[in-house]
Amino acid sequence: MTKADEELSRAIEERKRAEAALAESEERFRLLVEGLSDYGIYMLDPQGYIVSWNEGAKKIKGYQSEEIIGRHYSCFFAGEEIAEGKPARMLEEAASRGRIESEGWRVRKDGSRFWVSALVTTLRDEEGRVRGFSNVTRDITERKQAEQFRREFSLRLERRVAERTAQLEAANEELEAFSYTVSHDLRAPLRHIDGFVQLLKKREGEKLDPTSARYLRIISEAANKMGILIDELLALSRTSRTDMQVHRVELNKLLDEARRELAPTMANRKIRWDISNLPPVEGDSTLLKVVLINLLSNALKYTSPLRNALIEIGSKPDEDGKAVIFVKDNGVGFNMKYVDKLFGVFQRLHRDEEFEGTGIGLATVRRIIHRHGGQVWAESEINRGATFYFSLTQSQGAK
Amino acid sequence: METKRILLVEDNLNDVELTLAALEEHRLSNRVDIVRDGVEAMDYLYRRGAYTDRADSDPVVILLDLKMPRMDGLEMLRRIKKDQELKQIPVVMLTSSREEQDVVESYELGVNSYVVKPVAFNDFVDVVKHLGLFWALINEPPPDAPQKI
Repeated sequence: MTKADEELSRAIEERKRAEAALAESEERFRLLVEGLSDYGIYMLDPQGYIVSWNEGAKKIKGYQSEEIIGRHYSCFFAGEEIAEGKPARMLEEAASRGRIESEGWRVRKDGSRFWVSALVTTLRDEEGRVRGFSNVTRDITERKQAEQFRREFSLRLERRVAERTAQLEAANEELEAFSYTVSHDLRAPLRHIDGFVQLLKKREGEKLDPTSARYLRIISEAANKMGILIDELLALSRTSRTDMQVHRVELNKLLDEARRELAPTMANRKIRWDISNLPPVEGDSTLLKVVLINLLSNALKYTSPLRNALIEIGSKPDEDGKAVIFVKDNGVGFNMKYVDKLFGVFQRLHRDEEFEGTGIGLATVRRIIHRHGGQVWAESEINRGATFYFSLTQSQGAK
Repeated sequence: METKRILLVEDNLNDVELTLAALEEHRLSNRVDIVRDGVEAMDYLYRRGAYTDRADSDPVVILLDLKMPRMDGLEMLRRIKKDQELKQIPVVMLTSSREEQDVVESYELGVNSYVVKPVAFNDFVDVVKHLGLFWALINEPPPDAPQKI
């Protein structure tokens, strides 16, 4: 054999080995693609006709490879999408952009629909001509359904919340309308009763016998009493409109909770607390905590300019057997001249520049304590602290 | 001498009678013109309909009820305060309502005073006395108030 022959035969051997290796690699790749069962992988020719079909595609779309190869891939789309030219448009887009990802409904062989996530990649030859498309699809119907379920669920939830809110608003509006009517229309006849009684008394004057005069006085007193009752009823209806849940309340425990909630406002402050054992009372613990929080935050607020704030909380019995609780501070205090304004809504004894506030806190305290049948009052001297008192029914029952 | 008139806008006849009685205690009842709702009151102020020939000058004060048929007190107040000439006339809400919304809305619309009628007639007499004396006798009306006689 010549040297040239040897080289040739070696080249042929190499070529054969290379081809065998390539064939082996292609076979491995084909087996891999065909074996993938969760991914539908198929190839299209440039016109969109199916040229290959793997196991996953079979599983997802329901066609055997022999019945689908050679058919146009638009058979996976629903009629309306074919009508609007979606299959062709997707290939055009893939060709122009290189690849596209999309999600949408597709149709199985048996006509059932499923939600697909598809990746279409354009395959080109060395000259850049479109040789076909590879199509990788995944059935994500379950995920889609879960999403849809979640969406519908939250939509239903929102609708229900909206309905409830509307019901509550309607109930509130009715209540508003009710107290408005009470305020306007119930007071007027009372005014007329007392007014005409007074006019009658004036007109008859001395001619009235003592009994008639007494009757007129009783009528007048009753009308005035009812006027007061109406006013109190209105004030009560304006208080938080929740039902009261009256139980035995351990005030010291409630006080601890209130102080914990106020902790952020006490940061970087030196405050001495002097807290006595408080008697158990009858009341709504949620509302009474609001009372304590308001009174404590007031004490904290008006002692804030002091280096050594002292807040005392204690109790004493009153003559009616009720428990009187007091919150005493050594803060800036207030002028007793304005004590009547103290518990009024939007009434403030300090300017906002000095101490911030809305003027609702003490009005709320009063409303809640009144709802409990108790009283609130206060004592103070300017720059010598303030003491707020409220009375509540002592709890007699066992724990 | 020109009489200072008080315009009472009140639909309830009992209230009209009681207000007049209270004003009478202070010899002011003969100065009162009475209209029964907002529509009639606007006719009075604009000299329309039954009030075309109203001779007196504009009232020194309008005592206004809140709840009235046809046009209520708040609506009337809104119209008065929008009118360049009428807005000069002091308006006092004289009402049963203590409702915050009414008070707030009245002040927002520019009411000059808001008075809740007390249930006790003697208190009412006092209130009316202060109102009547203040607005009818003490208060100096704005100098540019229209004087149409």
